[in-house]
Amino acid sequence: MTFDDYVRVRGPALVRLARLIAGDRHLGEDLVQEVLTKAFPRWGRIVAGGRPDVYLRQMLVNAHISWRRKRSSAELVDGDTRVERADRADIGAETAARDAIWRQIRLLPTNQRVAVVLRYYEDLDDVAIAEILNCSPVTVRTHIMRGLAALRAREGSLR
Amino acid sequence: MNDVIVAALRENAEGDERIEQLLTAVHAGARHRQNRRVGAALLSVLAATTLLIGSSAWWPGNRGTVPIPETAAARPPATGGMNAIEAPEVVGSDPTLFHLDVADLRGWSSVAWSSGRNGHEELVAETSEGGEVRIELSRDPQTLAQRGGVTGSAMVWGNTAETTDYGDRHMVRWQPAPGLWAQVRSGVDAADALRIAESVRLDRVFRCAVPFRLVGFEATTLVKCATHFTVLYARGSPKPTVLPIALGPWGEVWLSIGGDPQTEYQVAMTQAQVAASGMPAQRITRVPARMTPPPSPAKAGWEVPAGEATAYVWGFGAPDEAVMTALVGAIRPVDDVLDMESWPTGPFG
Repeated sequence: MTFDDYVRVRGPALVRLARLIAGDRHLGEDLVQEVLTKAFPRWGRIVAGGRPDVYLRQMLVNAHISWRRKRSSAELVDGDTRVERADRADIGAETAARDAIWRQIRLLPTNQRVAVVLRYYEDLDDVAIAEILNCSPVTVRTHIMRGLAALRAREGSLR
Repeated sequence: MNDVIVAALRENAEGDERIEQLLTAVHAGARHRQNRRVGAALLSVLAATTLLIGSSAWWPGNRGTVPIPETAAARPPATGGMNAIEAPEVVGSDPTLFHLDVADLRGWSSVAWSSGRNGHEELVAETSEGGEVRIELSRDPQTLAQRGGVTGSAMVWGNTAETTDYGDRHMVRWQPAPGLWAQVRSGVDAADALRIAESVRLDRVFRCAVPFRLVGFEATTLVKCATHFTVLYARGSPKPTVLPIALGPWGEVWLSIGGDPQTEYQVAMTQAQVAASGMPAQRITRVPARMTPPPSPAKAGWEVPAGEATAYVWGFGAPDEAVMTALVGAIRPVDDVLDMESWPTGPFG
């Protein structure tokens, strides 16, 4: 499979995942572009490794962590959707609940947020997530449990 | 809540992906990077030449003389006993003991110690930027095995170390004592991984502290214990202090009960207050508790509110319902989970 073929088939999923990992639509799209730009010259080796999906997801997570290092956390947290949606007056109860939980997901520490996204959006198991996060499956469970505990606690405080 | 999370993630992931535009931008970016790489190669030749002419002071052999910085404060309670250098066989032999430490916690936002019975101990830190540093100590080098990467060598406290560059992360592995292997993995850069490796200390022993006791369960059921700290620095202070903000401290134990090695139970507790309106009416041995959907791959879960904290009991493999409820009833939380001084230095008793 050529690089362009892969991006046409798997690119949309990668973009959607990046939006969630970055917590911001535009940052996510920039993140994918940066990762694919780095992957392109080594595409032959990546394909030879047999698991380009895993490799590119690892690159995505690592690139996001590098970005956070370079940028202030405030810049990442105060993205566009948060402000736009909080001001909507005619928001339905379900939409409001989704909106609230998304805002809280974005506030989770990076590893917890990525683990929650990979579990609940990508539907990956602990072992697959551990491979992407470069940690043990036990650590993945801890990230997810801590993330859920934080979301539950913050959900309670919003009531 | 899981359904809301899934719906929220789907809603915020969707949108126009514009793949052809993305491909055009990627190809243009790749060409630009290639041009920059040629320029950078020429500059690095110039820089290396300058360094050779101007420098003669730094040699790897000087590393062993660097003094160990003063130890910071945010740690589990220390105890006596043989350390990892004196007796490598103690590593990963008692889940209530940690034999792994670092001299400097600066730049880290959280640090977690964990120990099991499988000859392996681990210290995982999250940097303030969200990266992860993983330090492992093992009696079996196979448990530290990594695939691929570009290998090299370095020195860590007089020991020859193997370095591996995976591009996005870096690994340093060395043998601090016969029969014992240590490994640092860092996502920052190779120099950072080596700096952390040199800050690893193996001359201390700590106890696993958790914010609860389990009454009526045998210590022999314990297979793993972990303590998580949030590290925070007071303004102007060079030393970190433990400040239990939001979800700061966290203690967890893993138990094997019933003889099935595939079935394990996890009891964890952290600061996560359940809203008064959400307090469960059900009680297990006078403890308010409720069953809760477990995070995969756990098969069963209980949530136990305890003041400003919440305990969780998760069952993995084929958990026994009676054991789950017995664990819920056995939890004796500390009065104030935020006061880490009050945590017992062991999960049983």
